[in-house]
Amino acid sequence: MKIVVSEDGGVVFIEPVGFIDGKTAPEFHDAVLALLKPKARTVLNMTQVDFMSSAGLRSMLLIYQQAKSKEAKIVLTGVNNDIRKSMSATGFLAFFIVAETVQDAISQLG
Amino acid sequence: MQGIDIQPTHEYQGYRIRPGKPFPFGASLVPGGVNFSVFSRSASYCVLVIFEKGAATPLVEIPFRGMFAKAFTEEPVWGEFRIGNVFNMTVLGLDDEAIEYGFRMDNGLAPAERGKPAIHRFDPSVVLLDPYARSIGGRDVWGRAPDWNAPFPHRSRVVSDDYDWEGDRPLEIPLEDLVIYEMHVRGFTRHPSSGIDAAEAGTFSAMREKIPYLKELGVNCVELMPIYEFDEFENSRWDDERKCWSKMNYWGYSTIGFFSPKAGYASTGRLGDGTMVADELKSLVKELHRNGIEVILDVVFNHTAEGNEHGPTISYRGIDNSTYYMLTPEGYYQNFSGTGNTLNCNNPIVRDMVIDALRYWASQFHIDGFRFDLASILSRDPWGGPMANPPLLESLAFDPILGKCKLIAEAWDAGGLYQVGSFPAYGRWAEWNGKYRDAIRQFLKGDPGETGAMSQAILGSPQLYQGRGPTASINFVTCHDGFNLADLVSYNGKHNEANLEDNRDGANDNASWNCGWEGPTDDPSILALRQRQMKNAIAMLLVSQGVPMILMGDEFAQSKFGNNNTYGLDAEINWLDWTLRETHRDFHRFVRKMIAFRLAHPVLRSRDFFHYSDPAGRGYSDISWHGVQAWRPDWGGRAIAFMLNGYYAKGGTAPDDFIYVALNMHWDALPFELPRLPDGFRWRIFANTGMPAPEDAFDAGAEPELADQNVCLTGGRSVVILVGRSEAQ
Repeated sequence: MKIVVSEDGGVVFIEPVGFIDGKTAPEFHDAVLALLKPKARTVLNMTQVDFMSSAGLRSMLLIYQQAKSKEAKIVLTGVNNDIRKSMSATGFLAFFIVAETVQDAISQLG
Repeated sequence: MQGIDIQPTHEYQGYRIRPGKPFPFGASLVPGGVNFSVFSRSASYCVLVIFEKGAATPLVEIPFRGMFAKAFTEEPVWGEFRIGNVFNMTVLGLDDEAIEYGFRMDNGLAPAERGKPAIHRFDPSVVLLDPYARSIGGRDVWGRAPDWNAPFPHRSRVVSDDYDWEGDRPLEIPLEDLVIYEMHVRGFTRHPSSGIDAAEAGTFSAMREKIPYLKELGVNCVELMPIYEFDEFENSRWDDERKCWSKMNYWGYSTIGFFSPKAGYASTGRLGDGTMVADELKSLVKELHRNGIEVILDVVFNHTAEGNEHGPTISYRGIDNSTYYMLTPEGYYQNFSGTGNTLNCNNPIVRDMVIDALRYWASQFHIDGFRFDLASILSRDPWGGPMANPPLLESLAFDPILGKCKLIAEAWDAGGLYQVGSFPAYGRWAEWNGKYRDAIRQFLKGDPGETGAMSQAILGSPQLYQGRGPTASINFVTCHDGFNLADLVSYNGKHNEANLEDNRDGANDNASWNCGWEGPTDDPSILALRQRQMKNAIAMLLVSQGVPMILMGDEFAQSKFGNNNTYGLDAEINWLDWTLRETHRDFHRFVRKMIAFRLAHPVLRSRDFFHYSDPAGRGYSDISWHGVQAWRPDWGGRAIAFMLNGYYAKGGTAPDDFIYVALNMHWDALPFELPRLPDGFRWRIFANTGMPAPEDAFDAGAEPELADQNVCLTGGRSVVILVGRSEAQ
């Protein structure tokens, strides 16, 4: 899967593109984990993710746990309605800070 | 370090495989692949059939015995992947999320004819569901009409067990402290008045959103009507006149798979992702536990959805018919369940399956307990005879993983076995106490001479459970079967026409009383009497020793219009109507206060039966019976009173108030002479169902003092509850 990474003003922007499922999830979380430096401030922009399976949910949780252990902060943005619903129904959404826009996400990072 | 068994030994049409592990049964994730394991004693041949999710034709069919290619070469090699009666194989490199699977089995005989008896029912043309499937596809969205011609309608899926429980554990609330709420997952939030978005209504996640309501009601346990995968369309038919499905399997008492949550109860079911469905249910359980609410599952192990000789081959009968089912010597299905077949629960293989399933739910879903539908079937031997020491019930009672789970039996079956009071209990099993229900109903409607039976009910039914204690008794006035509370006081007879069986279905003996008019009325005196009778029933239930259970909807007097068997109606009649919370707000308030009262008073929640003694010399025994005259109960009439000495609450470990309860089911008001309290103690009134709200029930600590400390006038068909305490306390 394609993952677009950029940095601006001390904030790392990670933008995965495509499905996050059993096939792509390992690649996705390996890539994100590699970018998660201690105390990093990160925006995970999900605008271009159309679908996430349970494997994707697990990748997200792994990322969240790693971020916590590194005292890094992650804010999600651009989560489409379907993904938000499944993340909410399964309880995974509760782990994350979710922002409506990239700008909101940056301000949530403080 | 990586294990050395991750490499394939054989290849088949490009799929890399190796001999699997026989345990655990079912499909399990192992390093590099998926392990498949399935039992059949009589199959001589088995094939693993793998589909891409939703596809009509398989990706591959891998035999468990035959010619393969040696891994990494083209060299042909014989392979047989079986240990004893268990076929097992690991397939490497599978995308477990993307597949569904099943088995074909054969033993070389001609397939049994549909409708004819047979010992074996192998049919290699059918792709069989795995009895251990952790997720089942095919009915992913509730009520979405299936493809009736689908060759493989119920598909096994692979589930990932990992989940972040965030430290959650089963709550292990003592059984005597539970207040159970019997509910239907879909019915709880399906009604438009629930306020849940239509796309999510009726699901596990919608229920999670409504937990604050359960918390406000005050219950600390929910008992979910069946949530194992079932087919809501089983036996259904399209009603062209009413433009809806009739005779649906709405309640769900017909299991397809014992290890799989009902996908149609998950809002994520539509994604066809079994792990996500499991996650959704786990998230519900975790949140209920956070709110101090336990989860009991109503489990149906007495039969399956495969029906009798005419039924479909879905799984068990095509895998090992004579192992999974009780058969007559000719090969007809025994029908102790009343639904066509009977699971052969005391066959060692089936017994293990039942135990494995319950262990799975207890360990992977943190379920706090189980209520077994038609549990007496679980005490029958493979030929149908009741056993004194049934291995399955004994194994469950002593199972280490289920060691803290509540085990509750519906202690009867449809074959005539009735074991209320005599269910093989091993010090563990509780029972739905049908005799409690009957006693309360008869006393409530004013039958004379019921005070004796009523007193047994109040005591936790020692006549049934001596040696087991009051926690053996799950007390209820109403449950999903039969009239609900509003109908119990509004109908003399059942009115089941909507079930389309000419009012023949459902129980005829309801011990109900309509209070003077059959069904709806606007007569204010009848309506007032009905409301009082409902309050009386709730009061009796919540001051009884034992474990009270309240039926969803009864807390705000929802009617089912006299229908006492609504199993097949996915309609408003079965959906909780949240507007009634306001319509019947006084009654709802009373129910909440009664629940809070029970939970505030340990003397109502004894683990052991009363001793009728006063070993500490307090001047009052733990319980005493009274009538219109104190200390002189009238066992022949329609009124009785009792007093509990709070000093002895929970064996003297949880000091409590005195509690006095006058139950007057006579139509006239009666003056009850009150037992005299110790010096400095005063009687205060907690509840009087003869008074309109808000004088019908008070908050703990705010109960007004009784003006006359000697006599309590109790209205006709009314219950008065007093607390006696010292002002110095």
